[in-house]
Amino acid sequence: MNRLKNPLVCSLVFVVILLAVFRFESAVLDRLVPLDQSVKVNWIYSHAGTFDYAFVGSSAAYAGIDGKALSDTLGGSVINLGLDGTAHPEQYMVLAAFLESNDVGTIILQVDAWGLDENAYGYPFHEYLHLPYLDKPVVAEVVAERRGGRLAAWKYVPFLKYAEFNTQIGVPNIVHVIGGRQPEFDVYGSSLRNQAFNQAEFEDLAAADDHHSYAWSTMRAEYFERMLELARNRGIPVIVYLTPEYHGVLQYSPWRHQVVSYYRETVTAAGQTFLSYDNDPLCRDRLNFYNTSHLNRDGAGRFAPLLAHDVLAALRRD
Amino acid sequence: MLFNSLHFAVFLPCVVVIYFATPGRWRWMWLLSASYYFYACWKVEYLALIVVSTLVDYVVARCMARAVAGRRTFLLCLSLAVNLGLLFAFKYFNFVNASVRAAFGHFDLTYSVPALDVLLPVGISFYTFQKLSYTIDVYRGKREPEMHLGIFALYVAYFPQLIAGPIERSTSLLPQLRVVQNFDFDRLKTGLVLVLWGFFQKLVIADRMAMVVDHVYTDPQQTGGAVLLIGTYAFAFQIYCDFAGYSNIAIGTAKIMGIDLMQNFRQPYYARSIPEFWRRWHISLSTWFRDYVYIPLGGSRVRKLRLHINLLLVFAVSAIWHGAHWKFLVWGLLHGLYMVFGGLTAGWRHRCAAAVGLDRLPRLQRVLGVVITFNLVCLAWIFFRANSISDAASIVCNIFQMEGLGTVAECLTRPGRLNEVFGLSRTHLVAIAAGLAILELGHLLQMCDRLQLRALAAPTCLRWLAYIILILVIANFGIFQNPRQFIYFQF
Repeated sequence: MNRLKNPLVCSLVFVVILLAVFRFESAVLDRLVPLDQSVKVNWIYSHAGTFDYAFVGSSAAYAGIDGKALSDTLGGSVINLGLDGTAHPEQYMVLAAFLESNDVGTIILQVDAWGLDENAYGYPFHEYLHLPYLDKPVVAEVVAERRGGRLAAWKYVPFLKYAEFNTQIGVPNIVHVIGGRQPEFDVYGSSLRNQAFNQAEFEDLAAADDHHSYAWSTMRAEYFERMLELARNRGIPVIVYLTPEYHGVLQYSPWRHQVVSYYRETVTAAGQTFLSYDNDPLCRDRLNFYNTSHLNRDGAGRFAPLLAHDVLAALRRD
Repeated sequence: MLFNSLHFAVFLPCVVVIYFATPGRWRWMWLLSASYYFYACWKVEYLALIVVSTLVDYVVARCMARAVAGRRTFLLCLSLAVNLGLLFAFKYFNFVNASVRAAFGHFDLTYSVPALDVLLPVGISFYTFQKLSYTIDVYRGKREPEMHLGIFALYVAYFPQLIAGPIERSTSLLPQLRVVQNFDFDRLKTGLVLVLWGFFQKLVIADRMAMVVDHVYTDPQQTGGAVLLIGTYAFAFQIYCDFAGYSNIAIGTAKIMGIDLMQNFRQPYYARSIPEFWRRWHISLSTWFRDYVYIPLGGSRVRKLRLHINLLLVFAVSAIWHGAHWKFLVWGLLHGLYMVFGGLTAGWRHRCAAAVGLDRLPRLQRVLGVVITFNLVCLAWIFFRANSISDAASIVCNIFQMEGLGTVAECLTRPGRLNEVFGLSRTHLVAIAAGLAILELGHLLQMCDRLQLRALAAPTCLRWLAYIILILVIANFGIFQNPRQFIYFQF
């Protein structure tokens, strides 16, 4: 103990003990966080199996895919990998990590007109949800691409990732597990909503001053193309569909045609199928939507047979 | 530069290491440069303001030492005019201007003085009062003027306490800045523990309470009384932990460099009366007003009516010091009225206590005193925090109607409701409960000398365990994303 009277030794010993404690807690949380199955990302990464159809996309897929109806109509197992508020980089990362431990028959990729707009999502890359999975090479790779040098800090400074995002991961997950929090999504990974059309939101959108600005993201387009490439390399057919939108809103998206053309041409050039429902009566009835770009439960129920029919037709063609 | 930022986490170790590595006679220069850099991080332009006002007070104080009585008074007035003039221009002009415009508008008169397009320089109220105390002390002959311009400039701009105090007296800080401090490992440890405690108060409690307060106070007209009451209690802890947290980080930082700053808080919510509360809350400002306003007005050696007027006046000035808004004035006057009313009813309250037998139960009397004082302070906090006086009035009305008890009960059983009503998740609730328990444990240690001695004499492993637990609590429950400014930065 006398050696601890030396300031340098004392400080060093304290720091080493502190780092060891942080390392230990970090390791414990790495094991405990995945137990919180109420978080969609944890639920997705916990799967290891075979699925006939995997749906990938943003909130439009998360809330607009009726897993049961699709599973029944398609006649195969369905999993919805759609994640709320995500853009293509995160979707690519989740899909690639999922394919590492699962066999998938067909990938059905949802896209929307905002998918390439830099300003469309508040926080489009939720790195914190994936930090407990940095041991997965593709997760580490994409996090490094998106967050640069911070990956090294999260990886090598013990506990930093859990401290920095402590309101989102770590202790909150343990509280969820202890409290028995139920997931907001069903067994297929979908979260269908019983909400009526949000007229006020639509009117706000219609009254907005500027409908013309669209910050095209080349980076997001690259990740979209990487998803197509990933599927091609694994020999998995991909069907890309443009999510149904309430047709009343289309007049306020002057850039939409250009974005849809990009998706259509890229998908067709890759030899895959592109589906659009812009002219379907489904999109003319606001009762099918809870807001301009998201189907509600009824809408998802009506959309499921349409999509299933087109998917089966496309697969038959191939 | 915020204390709770990565920038400061890099800045402080660099300053400390270079400070102790620099030869003693040049250290002031390094600390002054670091302090000016710290201030310039907010807005470089306002550095000129602090430099010019420092020069004015330096010259005025030196001239004062050689001047005869009449000229000394003139020089003091000059210093007051410059310091208070700058404070008025930056902090109060637009408020006064808007109030006069509103009064003119009331009588349909035209008023065309435009508003000044200036931002309030951060910390101006604090460093202005610190300089004023120096000039007044020199005027009163309590101290000699500082001859070293660099040391004086450092006294004004010393970075740990520059932005939000403690407002140091020249008699305490200036001599310490002159002494060459050797590195002391024990001071480093004490300083770091204080810094740690300050971060705990700020990041774990204050910033989390802020989530509740912001949520509850957004639409007070539509919020039930019970919810508003909880929101108000949350604000009481938010402002205390925010400001006391800042003060502890400032005191700890200075201590690492061998400098003792004055204690700014002494468990204020354990006060048994409003006068005691003000002896425990923002001590550096309370004593400033006592020494430079209250006592010159006659202190307690005046007739009762005059004493009460003086008290109201001191609290009104103190309130306006906080901010250019009528709501602060109401807050201050409310405290002034508490003091006056407390003084007027002291005898009657003692007789009442004796009549019901409370004087035979001193512990219960103490607890009652703490509870009543805390609630009176919270009542005043409503005006401090609300967005306007009318909002504050409706909050007070709603609280006294006490509706919404069912909503609060629902929050305990349904986590979704907790988020809707208070903007909190279950995790936040756990963090608040754990944080408050640790805070009260800390208060207990600070209040009980016997416990404090035992803690200090505890084996190293036990003390280290306590420090590690505190660090773990901060790492697990501190709010690190989108760091919030300290509340008192706006003053």
